[in-house]
Amino acid sequence: MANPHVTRERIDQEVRAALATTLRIEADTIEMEQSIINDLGATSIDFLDINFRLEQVFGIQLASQLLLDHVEEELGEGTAIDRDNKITAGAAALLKEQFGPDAPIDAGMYADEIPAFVTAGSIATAVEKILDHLADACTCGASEWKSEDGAKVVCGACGAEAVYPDGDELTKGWIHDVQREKQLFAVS
Amino acid sequence: MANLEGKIAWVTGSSRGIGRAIALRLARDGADIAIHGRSEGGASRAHAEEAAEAVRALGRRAICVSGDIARKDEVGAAVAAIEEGLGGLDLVVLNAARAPFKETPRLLERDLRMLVDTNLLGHVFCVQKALPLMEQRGGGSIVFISSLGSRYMNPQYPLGPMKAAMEAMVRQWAEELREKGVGANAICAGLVKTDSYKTLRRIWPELSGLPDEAFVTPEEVADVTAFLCGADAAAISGQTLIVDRGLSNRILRAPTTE
Repeated sequence: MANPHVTRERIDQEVRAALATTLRIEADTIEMEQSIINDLGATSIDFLDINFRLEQVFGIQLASQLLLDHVEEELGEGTAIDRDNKITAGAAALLKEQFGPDAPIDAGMYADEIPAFVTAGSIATAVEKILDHLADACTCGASEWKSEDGAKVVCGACGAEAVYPDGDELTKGWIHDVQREKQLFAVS
Repeated sequence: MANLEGKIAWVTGSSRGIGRAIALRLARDGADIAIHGRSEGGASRAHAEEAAEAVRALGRRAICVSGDIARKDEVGAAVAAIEEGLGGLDLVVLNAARAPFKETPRLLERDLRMLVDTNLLGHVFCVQKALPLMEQRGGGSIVFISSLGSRYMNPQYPLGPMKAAMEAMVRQWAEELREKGVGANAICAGLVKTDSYKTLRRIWPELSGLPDEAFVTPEEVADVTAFLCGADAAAISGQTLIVDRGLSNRILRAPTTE
C-alpha cells in the first residue's frame, strides 16, 4: 500500500538535502548507496539532525534507535549482541533483511560496525516504509488525502495532517513478525 | 573576564556543543587548550580539529586528544599527550557525557554500565590522571558540567542520577584536593540547545514551544566556567552553581507555549 502522494524520487531528494545540510556537502554529489558514516563522514550524533529534518519535511517520526537495540529491548538482552559486543547469527540474519541479502554482515562482527551500513538509500527506505502506512481515511472520516508540496499529506476535507505510525512502533512490530516467521533469535 | 594567561586547560567533550564554547572562552581568557573528543577518526575528529583551529585563531596553543573517558588507559594516554603537547595542566573541565535516552524499564545492562562507566567513573579517571600534572604546577581548578537532571526529573534521562552523583563527588574533591591547591566546583546548566537537545525535543515535544528565555546558550555556560577557573572564584569550593536563567525557580509558573 504505497503512498500515492509522495514519490520515491521526492524522498531521495529530501534525504540528499538533509544529508547535505547536516554534513555540509553538496547534495548532488551524494549517491544513494553511499555509507553515511564511511563515505560521507557522518557521526552518530549527525543521525539526529538528519532524521529531524526528514521528520519535519514529511510529518513522520523515524525510529529513534538502531535495529539491534530494538531487538534487545523486545526479545531480551543478549539475543542480538553478545557480551563481547559482537552480533549474533540471528542479528546478522535480521540485518540482512534490512540492508539486503548481499550486505557483508556476518555473525561475530562488532555491533559498532553496523551503523556504517546505513546508506542514503536505506534512510530513504525507512522514510518510505512509514509513509506507506497512510491510513485509508482521516480521523474526520474523509478519504480525500492530498499533498501540495509532495511531502506532507493533508486531509482534503478537514485540513488535518496525516498521522503515520511511529518508526519505533513499526520496527518493533516488524521484529516480532520476523521472529514469528523465522525464529531467528533464541528467546528463553 | 578571568585572567587565565599561561594556564593550560583540558576540556573533555569539546569538539562541539558546550565543551567547544568553553574551550574557546578559556582561550579568549588566555589559556592554552587541549580539545578532547571520544573518537580518533571521522567527522568528530574533523570537528575537534576545527575547534583547535578556532583556539589557535585566538592566539593560543591548541592540541587535539582523543579517547573514551570510560577507559582508564585511554584517559591516561590522553593526559600523557597533553603533557607532551602542552607541557602540563592547570584546568580540567569535565564536560563529556554519553547516555541513552530511555525510561528505566527499557535500559539494558550494557546501557547502565556505559552510563556509570562514562558519566561517573570516567570523570574520576580524568581527575586521577590529571592530578599529578596539576600538582606539579602548584594546583589548579576542576569544573564539572552538570545539568538540571541532577535534581529535577527529565523524561527518559538516566543521565540525571549520574549528574547528581557527580555533584556530590565534586564536593568530595573540593575537600580532598584543597591541600594540593586544586579546587573543584560544578555548573548545573539549564536547557541548552546542543546535540543532546535534539534527542530531548523528540522525547519531550513541548520543548520546541518554549520561549527563548527558557534556554541558556553554550557561551553563557562557558562564561561561568571561566569564572570558576579564575582567581575571583577562589572562595567558592565544592559548590554547584545553577546556570539556567531561573528556569528551575518557576515550579508554579513554568514557561509555557505561547
